[in-house]
Amino acid sequence: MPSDVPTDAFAVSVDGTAVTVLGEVDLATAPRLRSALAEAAADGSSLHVDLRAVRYLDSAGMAALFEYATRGMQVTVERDSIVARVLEIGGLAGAAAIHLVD
Amino acid sequence: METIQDAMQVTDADGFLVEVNDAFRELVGFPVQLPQAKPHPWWPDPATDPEDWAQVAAAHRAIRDQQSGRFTVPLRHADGHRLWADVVYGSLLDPQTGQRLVMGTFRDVTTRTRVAERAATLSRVTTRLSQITDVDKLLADGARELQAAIAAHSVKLALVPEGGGPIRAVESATAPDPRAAAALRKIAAARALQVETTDAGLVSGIGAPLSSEDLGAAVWLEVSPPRRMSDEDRTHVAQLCASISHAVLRARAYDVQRTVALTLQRSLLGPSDMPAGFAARYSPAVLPLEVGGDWYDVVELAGDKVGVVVGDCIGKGLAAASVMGQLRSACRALLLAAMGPAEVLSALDDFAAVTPQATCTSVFCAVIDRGSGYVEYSSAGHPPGVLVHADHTIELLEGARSVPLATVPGAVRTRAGATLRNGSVLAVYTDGLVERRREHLNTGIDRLTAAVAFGMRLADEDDIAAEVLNRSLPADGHADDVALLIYRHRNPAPFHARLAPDPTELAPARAALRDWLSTAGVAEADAAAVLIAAGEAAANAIEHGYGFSGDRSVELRASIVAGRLDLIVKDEGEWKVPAERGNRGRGLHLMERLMDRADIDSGPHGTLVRLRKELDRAL
Repeated sequence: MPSDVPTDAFAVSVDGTAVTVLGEVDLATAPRLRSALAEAAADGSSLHVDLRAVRYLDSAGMAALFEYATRGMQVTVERDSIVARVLEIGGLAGAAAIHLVD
Repeated sequence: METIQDAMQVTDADGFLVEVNDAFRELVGFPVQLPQAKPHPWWPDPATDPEDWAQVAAAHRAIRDQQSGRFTVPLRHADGHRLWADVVYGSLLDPQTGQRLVMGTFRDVTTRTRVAERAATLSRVTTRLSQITDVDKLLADGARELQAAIAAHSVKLALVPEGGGPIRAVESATAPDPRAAAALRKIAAARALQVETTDAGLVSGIGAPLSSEDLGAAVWLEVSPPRRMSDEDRTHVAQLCASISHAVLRARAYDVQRTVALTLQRSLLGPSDMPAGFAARYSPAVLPLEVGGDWYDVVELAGDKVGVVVGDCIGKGLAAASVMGQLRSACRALLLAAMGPAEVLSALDDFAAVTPQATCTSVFCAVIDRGSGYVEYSSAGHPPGVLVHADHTIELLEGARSVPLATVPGAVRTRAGATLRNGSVLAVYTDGLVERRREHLNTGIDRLTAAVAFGMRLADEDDIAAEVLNRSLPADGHADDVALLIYRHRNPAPFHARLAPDPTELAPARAALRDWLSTAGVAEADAAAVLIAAGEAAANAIEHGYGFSGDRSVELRASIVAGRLDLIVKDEGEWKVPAERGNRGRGLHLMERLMDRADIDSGPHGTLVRLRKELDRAL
């Protein structure tokens, strides 16, 4: 079960409007995700958030996503993953476009 | 007429008695005034004696319809006893009136009839009781038979032990009589019939010893209301008691033999007191035997290891059981000599080769390491062990398979292995559990696997074994012996973590929980969901319970029992549950959706979150 990602790892990179997130998004790391989203959305364009490498995301992380979801955000997430399930339960699909990839 | 010895009566067409002789008067014991109208006092009372009355009524119809004939009827003597009369009748014409008269001669056949009746009763009771082997049932049934035979109001049948222990009494009816116990002891001691009579000389109770030897038992019959009882009646009671007594003696001997047989049989069987996590079921094909050719065994070995054996000798019944007992003991000794399963089977080959009837026995032998969960096994022509993990993945332990014992000289025994995870259930069994006529063996193994997967949700291993047996065996019984051994692996110990109220404590706590879930064999999808829910609860405790401050901690506990994960997150702060769907509202929603249960108890002294997830819900 353990993957290559260290259990306490979190990383986020911004490339224009593309935000790529790795690891675990929780109460401790959500502020860093929020900053990255803010940075990428600074010019007002739609965000592309890649969550394929995220293996933990709770309501704190989702709250950060919801803040920017109204701006036509595109979210990519691994199909059948726990993150996809969390986003579905949280109803992010109602506010952003979710792309499920294998 | 007085010269005729037989009792005689003449009646007219209306049933009036017009003539009787002295012998008739003597027969019935009643005074007779001629002419006498019916009903006559010696006729049975239709109200209290309908069966006897029916016979008399039938006789009257015969007399009406036929000129002559013969019958036997029950009458009542003036002293109350039942009188059987053999009646021969013929018709003649009254020379004065020209009317039909009926003349009957009566012969008292009471003794003869009673003898026949009693012989029939005795024979019936003896036959019936001879089929009963349980002493208590025998006493109960014997009491009922006696009561019916002598028409006693109540019958108390009891075994009075010698040396005066408590009386083992069975009452057939009504309330106990204080006289009975004392009388019984007296009768048992004297070993003689004792008759209790009223002042008028009527019998109110009869006590009879249940014969001879060391039995020291007695029967008490309460006759109510008291009545006359002839010597024949008393003899009859004595005979019935002898019959019961004989049956009790036989049943006692059977009891002793049975106890001896059961003790020996059970010594052949596997242990009934099993180490934690183990359970077994055993069902022999040949009843009333409690053993057959199948066996199971669990042997605690050095370290944290346990030897597990299930075997099947050819044949069934006592012969197979005696071979089985030898093989089981040998196998146990070999395991205790610190041998591995392959070595045990090799040595058993040699043992079976010199033990009559032991060849061709199939054996599954395994050694389970309860610490690591590793199970090493070898099979001598035995059906594969079935291993169902908590996530319902299935492994058949079908490696290291070779021929049954002592069938091929120099057969090589190999070993194979599998790893039990937390909650994994291993079922080892004999083919009687999975084999059915006109069905492929794999169908039976599939059925067993499904039964294990279904049963493993139960908390008690013994219940799992019962469930598996119940679901695997056909409802209409089984023709072969069946042995089933169940082991559920439990590892690791419950999870416990304590977090300082700091968000950076969350990731390490989750990592520890993730490792624990992995070791526990929880499937990845379930584990991920549990991590989110636990993480939410812990984050809520930190963020809202303490407001990121204070020296109080958050406690996280998790345990898995029978495929059900229970998780507790406890803090000493006060939650403020928002009505709106903000950050917090989403958190609660996530917990509820990801888990099967999410209860939050929030009080002035803290908050307790209980989360539950059923981990095995396939099926």
